[in-house]
This record gives sequence, structure tokens and C-alpha cells, in this order.
Amino acid sequence: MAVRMAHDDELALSDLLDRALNKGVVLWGEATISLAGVDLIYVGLRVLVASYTTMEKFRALNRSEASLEGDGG
Amino acid sequence: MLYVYGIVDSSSFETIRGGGHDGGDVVAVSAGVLAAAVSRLPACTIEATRQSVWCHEQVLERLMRDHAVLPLRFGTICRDADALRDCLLHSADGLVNDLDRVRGMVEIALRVVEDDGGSELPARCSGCDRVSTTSWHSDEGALGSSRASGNGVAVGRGTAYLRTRLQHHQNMKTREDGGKRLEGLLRQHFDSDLKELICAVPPGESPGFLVSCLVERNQVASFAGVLEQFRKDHPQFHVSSTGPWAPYSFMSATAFLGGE
Repeated sequence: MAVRMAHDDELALSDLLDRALNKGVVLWGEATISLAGVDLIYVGLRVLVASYTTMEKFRALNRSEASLEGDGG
Repeated sequence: MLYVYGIVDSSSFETIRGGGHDGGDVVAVSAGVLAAAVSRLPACTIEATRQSVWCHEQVLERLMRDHAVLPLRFGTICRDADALRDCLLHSADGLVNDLDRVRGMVEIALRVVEDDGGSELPARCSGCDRVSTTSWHSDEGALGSSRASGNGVAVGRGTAYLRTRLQHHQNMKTREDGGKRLEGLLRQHFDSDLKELICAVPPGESPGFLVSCLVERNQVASFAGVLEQFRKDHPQFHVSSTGPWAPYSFMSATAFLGGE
């Protein structure tokens, strides 16, 4: 770009993260999305991951379901 | 696995040698009149590090020199080119419309906070003509505990909870109203220097407003000048800016692509 308005590096990174991680076109189908080295969710389930918070909810749900299956098995 | 950076308005583009993650080449996966910009990933996951996110953005900026580009969300990984191509062809019409909308455009990010530490523009009290300002941080107190009402009478937990929720809702409404007023002020000031503007309340207790501006790439310098004038005309606002970025915030309803 001809003109870079970015000032503070951390501020620029924060704005970039907000956009790159939470916005933009979302491709869903048979794909895996990861964040911070951790698989967020297998998008083959056709579930859209909108944010890290949402991802954590699904992970917690999966863990609790797995725990129930273990107890009942 | 293929890491997908964005979608361009051409069936091909010049390979970006070594420009992708882990030094991979960024190549085109053609889908009709469109193409996806991808690079190969040895693993099926990617970490969101400073370096990797910047790499994602830099690939998009490189492509934007010659093409209209729809940026994909970071971390989009597809199993193979055929699956990716099918997905794009399925949503081609909407993608073409979005590409037309952002062609030659970039996004500028603004953060606007009032200097007194609050975040609201003067808000009108609903149902009356009196203008009042609302402090950013609500005095919610502890949930679930008995609190004294205004006349000193103790109230139960349920009442305290509901009052807290009501206060929170009112605060959010005030913030949103302030955001709308700020948006109007910015639109009036920038006029033809920006194409679209989105003003949002940040999550949680973060002060201020987050503004995304869609600006013509060759007008960025002019936009910066107008922004500086805005700061002078409205010293009560602290405005920080970053960018230009790929136009992440201006994707339409066709932002979610599915295979079926």
C-alpha cells in the first residue's frame, strides 16, 4: 500500500487480529481451522466458528459429552 | 492441505514465490472467473502467531495491487483443490458481487474514545428531551447479594440481579446510541472520502468505538488528511488509526461459503 497509517505496532496487531480472526469470508465444508496450535473445530460438522469464545464453548461441550459417554459406557 | 488466503477476481495470478506460510508459494486455484489464493501446508492446522497473521495479511495486500480481493478469515484450511473449487463455484455469483464492491478499496481502522475517559456522546434520555451523559463503567456491584434500594430498603437477590441486568441493558443502549451519533458525525465529516463506514461497540468493558472505513486505495492519503482535520475540529475525541487493511469488515451476506 502506498500509505501506511499504522502507528503503534501493538495497536496495528490488535486491529489486524480483530479482523483476520473474526471477520472476512468464512469457508466451511471439510476444513479444519486452528488457533494457537489447537484445533478449533472440524468444520465438516458444518458448524461455523465465529470466535475463540465460541470455539471454547464447543470444546467444553465436546469434552462434557465425551465424559458422559465414558461414564455411561 | 491448502491454506486459503483470499479470493481474487481473476482465474489466475502470478505466483507469489515464498510469500506464504513457512515460505511456501502462493498459487491460484481457478474456479471459473475467480481464483482462490492458496499455499500448501504440511500440517492440517496453523497457529495464530504474530508472524502467521501478518503473513496472511501481506499475501492479501500483495494480491490487492493487481486484483480485487475478498479476504478469508485467518486459519481457513481446505483438504484439496477440488473441494475448494466446488465451494467457490457454488457461491460464484455472490462472490463476484462482493468483489465488485471492494475493487480498488482498502479498509482503515479507527478507535475513537472521548478524552474524559468515557465513551459516550451525549445521549438523550429515552422518553424525555433532557440531554445527559452516561459514565462508561456501570456501578453494577456484586450480583446475587442483597443491595439497598434508593430509599435504603434492602432488596432481594432476584431484584438486585434484575436491576443489574436492566442497568447493563441501559448502558448498552446508551453506548449504541452514542455509536450511531459518532457514525453520523464521521459520515458528515468525511463525506465523499469514504465509501462505507461501520461503527461498532467493542466487546466487554472496552471503552470507545471501533470504526471500519472502506476507502478507495488511491484516496488513503486524502483520507488521512481529513482524519487529521477531524481531530482538530473535535478535540474531545481521541482517534487512533491503523491500516490500510484488506477489506475484512465489508463482506456481505455471502460471506459464508458452503459446499451444498
